[in-house]
Amino acid sequence: MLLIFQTPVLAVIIPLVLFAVIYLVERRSWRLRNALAVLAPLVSFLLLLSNYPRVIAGDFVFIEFPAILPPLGMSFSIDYLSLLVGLVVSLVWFLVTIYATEYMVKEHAKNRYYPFSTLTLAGTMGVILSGDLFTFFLFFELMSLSAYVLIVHEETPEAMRAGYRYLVLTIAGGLALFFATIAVFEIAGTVTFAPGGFIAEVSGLAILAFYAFLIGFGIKAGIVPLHVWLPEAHPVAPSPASALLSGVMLKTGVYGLMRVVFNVFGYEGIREAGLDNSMLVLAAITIFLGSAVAISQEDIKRRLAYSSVGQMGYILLGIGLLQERALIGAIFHIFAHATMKASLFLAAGAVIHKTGKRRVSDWTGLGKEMTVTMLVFTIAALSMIGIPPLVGFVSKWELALGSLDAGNWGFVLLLLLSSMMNFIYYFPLIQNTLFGKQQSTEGQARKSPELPWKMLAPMVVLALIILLIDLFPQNPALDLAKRAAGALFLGVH
Amino acid sequence: MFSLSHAPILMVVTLLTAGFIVPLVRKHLLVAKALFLGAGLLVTILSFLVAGNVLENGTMVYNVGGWAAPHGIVLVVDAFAAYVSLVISVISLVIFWFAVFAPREVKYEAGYYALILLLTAAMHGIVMAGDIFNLFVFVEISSLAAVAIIAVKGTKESVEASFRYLILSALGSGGLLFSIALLFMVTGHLNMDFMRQTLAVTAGQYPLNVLTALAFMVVGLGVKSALFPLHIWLPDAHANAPTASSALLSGLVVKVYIVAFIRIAYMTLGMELFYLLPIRQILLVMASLAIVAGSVFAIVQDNIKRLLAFSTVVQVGYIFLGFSLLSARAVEGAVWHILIHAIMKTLLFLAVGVVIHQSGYKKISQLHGLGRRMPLTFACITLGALSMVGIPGTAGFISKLYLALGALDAGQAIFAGLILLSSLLSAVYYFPLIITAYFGHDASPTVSEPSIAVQLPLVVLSLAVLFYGLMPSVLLPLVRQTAALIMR
Repeated sequence: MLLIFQTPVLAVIIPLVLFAVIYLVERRSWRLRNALAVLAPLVSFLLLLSNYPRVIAGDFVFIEFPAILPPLGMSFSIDYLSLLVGLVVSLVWFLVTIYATEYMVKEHAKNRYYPFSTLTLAGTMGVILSGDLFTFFLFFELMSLSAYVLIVHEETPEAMRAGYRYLVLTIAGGLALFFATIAVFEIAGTVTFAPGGFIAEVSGLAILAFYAFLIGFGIKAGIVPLHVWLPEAHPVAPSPASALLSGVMLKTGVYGLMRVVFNVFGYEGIREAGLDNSMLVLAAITIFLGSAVAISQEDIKRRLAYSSVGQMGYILLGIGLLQERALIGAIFHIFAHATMKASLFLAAGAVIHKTGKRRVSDWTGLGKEMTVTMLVFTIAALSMIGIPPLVGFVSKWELALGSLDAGNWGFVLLLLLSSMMNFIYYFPLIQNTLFGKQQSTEGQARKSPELPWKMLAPMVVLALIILLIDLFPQNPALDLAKRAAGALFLGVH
Repeated sequence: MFSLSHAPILMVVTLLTAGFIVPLVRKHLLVAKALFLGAGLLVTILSFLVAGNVLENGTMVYNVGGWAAPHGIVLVVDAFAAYVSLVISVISLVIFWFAVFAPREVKYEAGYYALILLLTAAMHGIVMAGDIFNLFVFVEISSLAAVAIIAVKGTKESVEASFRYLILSALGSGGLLFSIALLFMVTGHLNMDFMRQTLAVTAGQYPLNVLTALAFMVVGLGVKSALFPLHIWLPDAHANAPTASSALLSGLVVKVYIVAFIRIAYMTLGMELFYLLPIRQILLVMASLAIVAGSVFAIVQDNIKRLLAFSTVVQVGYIFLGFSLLSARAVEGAVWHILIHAIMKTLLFLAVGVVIHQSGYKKISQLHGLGRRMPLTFACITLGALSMVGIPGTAGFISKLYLALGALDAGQAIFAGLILLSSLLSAVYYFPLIITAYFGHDASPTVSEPSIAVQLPLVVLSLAVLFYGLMPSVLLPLVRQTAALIMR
């Protein structure tokens, strides 16, 4: 069979082709356009799902195209980690796109939104399914640049400003990655991800490369102090795009860092060179500042954006500790945060879509008007705070255990403190919306449904995942995360 | 039967002859245009044949009139010459097409075509010349023709710019001639092959001569190829020329002088010199300055054509940087960049020329929403700009990749950093062009796309940008051979 028809390649190529197809058909039929845009992530999801049994059985998929772009070449692979992240990404993308088909009705330039959403999906899937650093970098650039179009969608002056800041930082981050990638190539003569890493000796150039990686991925993941674009860019985008940016695309940064730490350098090399400390320091600052600044934000989407910064700190902490259980927490948090933050942004978007209320203080009493939406919001927010048995609790639990394994009490306290702060910025909001009195209802007790099903269903599905997945006898996401972390630590596929 | 051995001289002769006939038939413009395009097409076919032959059978040497070197005039077509001449003929054919079909910008069209033909003939001549004095003659022809195709627009600015170019270019020619004379003193030969052999023996006896010759040549060809800080004529000249001229000058002409420099300094004087004299350090510094200062100047430009002109200064810096890093991959990167910059800069100059003609806007800040009125043209501009920034998937990424890898190979990570910094800066000056065109309020509805014949060159060049971005392996053998030849 032709290599190009293998699952990991198809999961990337199909959205890429659909991008072009959508672009061609959108003038004739908006229905077809919407259908294709929803289809793209679904196809990727199903393709990956079909590989689930194979990967669980321990079969590692790797496909190489050395002739494309010599001397580095391109390759694709699926292992536990990319399977989990790929499934999460395509599922969230699928749900968000269904939501978008209704949400975007009020917006302009829809013919630009859908193709670029699909193109960004192609880039993101490429990032996750790449088998080497160079392919990773190529798709990372594709994803970052096409996401720009989603961010500036509204074309307001604020959006253009935020977009420009995003663009410049993204290019800078991309160049840092580029430098790091070719530096690795220079050192090792290969850039293909290998179990246990392939850099034998961490030389000066390797350390430089690692910091370049940290900068490149840090910019994408919004690690303090490289997060400056994030709180500007996420709120100005249309809500489905914000959900994708915060829920999905941030993860590619930490995902890349996991690959670099475990599959390029090898965690022993990182530990010997003392590079884990820089990650831990950054993680601590990010967790603390992200959560603290979120408290002071009045605009709901800005609050959510800052909260994302803090949550990325969790994942960075899980990587930096270099402990298996901490890594399980980090990997599981990729899944957990994707579902939580996507549902929060979708719920916030629903409120803005229906009432136009962006300020947190205006949300008082909304629970009566938009019961389901606010319930979704509540579940996701409680999960962010870390109430068992919601998904947010599981990742925090594993992270805390990992910190203890590393013999570091401080980080457990930091996690508790951050939970506390999450509580401060989510709980009063929940309380107000559910139990507060609406100020000026003006007899708006309409009998109309609160939202069209296309917007409600995705949120409800996400909320159910958050609520129920840990009640399964065997949490499938946690299982995959454990396998992935185990594989990364043992240095096997 | 047609023998391929005559093809090199035929290329030059075809263009020169056409250059003389075209003004004669100026009364029948259609014939003149057909002749103009036909000559370009013929030369392109010949250059493909020659390149194929060189790849297969190695260097071709053509003795003009049957007289062998050192007494006769020879044309030497090695991999380097074949490669550059392929680039020149293909890119110039696209520009010829544009010049014929684009809206008129100059008064005497037939005369303009003749000048372009002379310029192209001279460029092929420079690349293939086997003896240094012929090289000088072709440099002179090309310099004068280049000045003329700027002035031909007839506006006050273009005449002024071309005059400045003429003076500086003449200074450059003087420097070059002086250095050739000095080298002749040392070797007694004008044929570059013989010069190299003699120099290996005599260079040690006359170190000052060689040193002075090299210094004059760096300045002489540096002025012509606009190596910073000798670039001062370029922004005005390239920005005020007619569209086709700008593309030709920025895309090809400056690079031909770089080729001439490489031919003399690297391939005739020999690489040993680079280890004896600090010439490499000087070139590295000048190239770095070109990259940084050119970018800074480009950032503050609002006039699109001036922006493109300053970007050329930066890209010339890239090419010199690649050649002076002296690692195999860096030289390959520089060789790549000769082609890739020719493609993308030609694309950008032509497309911007189209935009200026259709809308009358010359400034970036005026472009608001034009992307929706001229979707195809701006799609081409976007591709060209992405390629200039070096976004993966476009041709510009390939040369960036090779140059950066080459810098690391040479153990000079700082220059890899410089290339990346410049990439970031070019994003800062190219992206506003795209952003203003696509976002923001709508442009006047009267602006429309030009005819298909005018768009064709843009589309062809855009496809080339994508093609070399994704499938660079097609030309890789020729590039490798060229780099190996230079590094010999």
